[in-house]
This record gives sequence, C-alpha cells and structure tokens, in this order.
Amino acid sequence: MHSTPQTDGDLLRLMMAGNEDAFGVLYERWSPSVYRFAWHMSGDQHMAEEVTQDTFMTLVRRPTMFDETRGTLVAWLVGIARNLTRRALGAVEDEEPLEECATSSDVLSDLTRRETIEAVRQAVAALPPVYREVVALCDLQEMDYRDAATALDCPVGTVRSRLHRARTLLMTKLQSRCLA
Amino acid sequence: MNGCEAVQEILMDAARGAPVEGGLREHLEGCPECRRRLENERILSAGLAAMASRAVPPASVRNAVMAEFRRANRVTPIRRSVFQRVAMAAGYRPPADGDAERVRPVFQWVAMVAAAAAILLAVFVATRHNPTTHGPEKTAKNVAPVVPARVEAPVTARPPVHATPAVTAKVARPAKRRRVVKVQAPPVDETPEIATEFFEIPYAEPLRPEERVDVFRFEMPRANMAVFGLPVIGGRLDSRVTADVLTGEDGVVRAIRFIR
Repeated sequence: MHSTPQTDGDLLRLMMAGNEDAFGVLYERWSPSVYRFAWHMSGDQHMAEEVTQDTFMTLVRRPTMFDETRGTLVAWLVGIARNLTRRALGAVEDEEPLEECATSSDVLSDLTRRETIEAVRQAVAALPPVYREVVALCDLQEMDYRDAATALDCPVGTVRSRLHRARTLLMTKLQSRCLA
Repeated sequence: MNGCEAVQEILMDAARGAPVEGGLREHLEGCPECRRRLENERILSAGLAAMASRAVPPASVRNAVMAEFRRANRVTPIRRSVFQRVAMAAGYRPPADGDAERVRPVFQWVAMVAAAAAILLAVFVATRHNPTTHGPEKTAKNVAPVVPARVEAPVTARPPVHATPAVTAKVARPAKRRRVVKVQAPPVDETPEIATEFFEIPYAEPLRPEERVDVFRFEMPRANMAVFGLPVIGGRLDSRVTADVLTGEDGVVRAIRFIR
C-alpha cells in the first residue's frame, strides 16, 4: 500500500508542530540539492557539508521565515545555502565582463569526444560566482527558472539571461581549452 | 542573418529540452550559424548533465541537524501554581505564550474564586454524606470502606522522596460515584500522617481508564484552606499545611487532599 506523498507545506507544518519524522522527510528530500549546490559553488566538500548543516539549522530555528507564497521550499533553502556559501568564500566577486566570443566552429563537438567530464567541471568552477550559481541550479540540478529566481533573489528574466551568458562563457572556455 | 540575437536565449531553452517551435524552426532552416550554435548548446547540456553530481551529504550532517531539531523541540513542562491548576479544573484556560489577547486578571480571579467555591461545595456535600466527620482532617480517621474500583490508574508520585509501597487512596466524589486510584504513598514520617480523602474536583473531566495521574505534594499557608472554603482546625492561619494534589495527564487537577 502506498502512502500519499506529503507536500513540503504539509511536512513543514508537521515539523513546526514538533514532528521529527516530517523534518526527516524534508531533510532527505532537499538536502542533496543544497549539498550539491554548495559543493558546485565552493568546490570544497567540507564547506558543502557545513553549508548544508547550517542551512537546515536555519530551517529548524526559523521555519516561519519561509513564505510559501514567494516560492518553493527548496528554492528558499538553496537561497540560504547561497548566502552561506558566499559568506564562506569571502567577498562576492564582481560580475566578470563577458567577452563575447564566437562559438561557430565545431570544436565543441570535438571536445565532447576527446575531453573528459573534468574539463566541464573545471570550466564551471572557473566561472564567476554569479554565473556559476545559475549553472549549478538550472543545468546541474535542473531547477526551473522560477525556483532559481527565488533562490537567487532576482527576476526570472535575469536568471535566463545570466544562464545564457554563463553557457556562452562555458563554451568559450571549453573551446579555448580544446584549441590550446 | 537577421534575428540571430533575438533567438539566442530560445536556442538555449531548446538545448535544455524546450520544443523547437514555429518562428525558431523557420529561423534555423535559413541560418546555418544558429543551427551550429544549437548543436553546441546541446553538447554543452549533455556535458553538464554528465557532470551533474548524485552526491548526498554524509550521515554526520543528518545526525547534527536531527539533534538540533530535538533540542529545539524539547518539551519544557509548564509550571503552574496550585491555584492555577484548580482554576483550570474549573474551566479556566490560561492564554498560550505569545497570544495577542490576554485574559484580564479580574477574570482569572473570578475563575479561581469559582474553583474555590466548587471545592467548598464538594467538601460540604462530602461531609453531609458522612455525618460523623466534621472537617477534612477528621474524615481521615473515619475512612469508610473502599468502594470497589471502577477505574484504576497507575500513578507516579512526584516527588518520590522515599520508596514506599503503593497504597489505595479513595477519591471521594460528592454525588455520583467513587473512584479508586492507586497512588504512591507519601513519605513515611516517624509519626503516622493523617490524610483526608481525595476530594474530587467537581466539573473536572473524569479520568480515563488507565490514565496516568500525578500526585504533587505542596506545603501552603494554612490560610489557603480558608481560601478554598475549608475549615481551619488546629493551627494558626500563618502555619503551613501539606496538601496532595492529583492531576491527570493533561496537568489539570482532579482531586486534592490535605495532610496532617
């Protein structure tokens, strides 16, 4: 017999009433997303663990800060993780000016055949944080634009344009790596 | 070709799984550059998907946050005075912490006075049913045979200062029925103590079968007996009198007795 999956809202209300099981379900459901985001952003496993722990500590201590009308729970949690990661990494880097670069050649297709996943990982890690976070959310975690906008505290259009610029940067970096 | 800039983000969406529709399809048919761009976008998406992690945080993180949850939700017992407990038995419900509306003190006093009157009524009815007694302290010397138990509830005496065998204390009910409740006997002193019967608080919700009850022993000014409408016998008003208060699992007082 299947039990009805509970929504985040239901679980959150149970959690706020002291139900440990409900909190456990929420943790199992969303801690991987928070953890992976923090790991992608920091490139440091231990920092990702600390950020994940602190994020859920915030959920325990101040659950009423979550506003269901403003977005999903995972977007709120990732938003907390984002702030914690940025704080841990120090000052937020300024947005790197994008050097538009033609990606008209077929080197990328060559790259995918010859390069490993490590090349993509390094390219993502080398992105400025403002682009890395949008790639981490939208491409690596397949979060939709709306949730990403909530997590990043910006309009959906900004998410989309940042993602476009981030992907252009990635293609440029991978292309130059390939050519090198 | 014209319009390439306008479709760049749409190309990205298409590479991420969005369907290629009308205007974009037409543009791609006439623009080899954008077709190449779309192909590169798709390759990039595949590369990103390949590096997407399936990692989960280690168990130590889970243990830490669950411990924090337990700590944050630790139940702190609410301490209430005997007067509050008696008033709650009479129907008064104290406001929860953080309630915007507070019950005015005058209503609290009304509830407490009503509780005191209820106890007075209970004592009056009890003494009328047992004409040999003249007050709560004397009734203990003239304990009537125990009525067969209808409800027996395990009791945890608090505080159990001395380990003493369980005894059966009779709870006198003024009008309807009698209840027998097993309670832990109070500490035995050198001089045998004399206790009144447990006077059940009228209008209090009856105990459920097998409901756990607690007995709290208090010392209070003897003058408080007068507040509750009980006769003050054999002592000055400012001396202390011992009382056992029996509460249900909900913390509401169900019965009270006085010890000499």
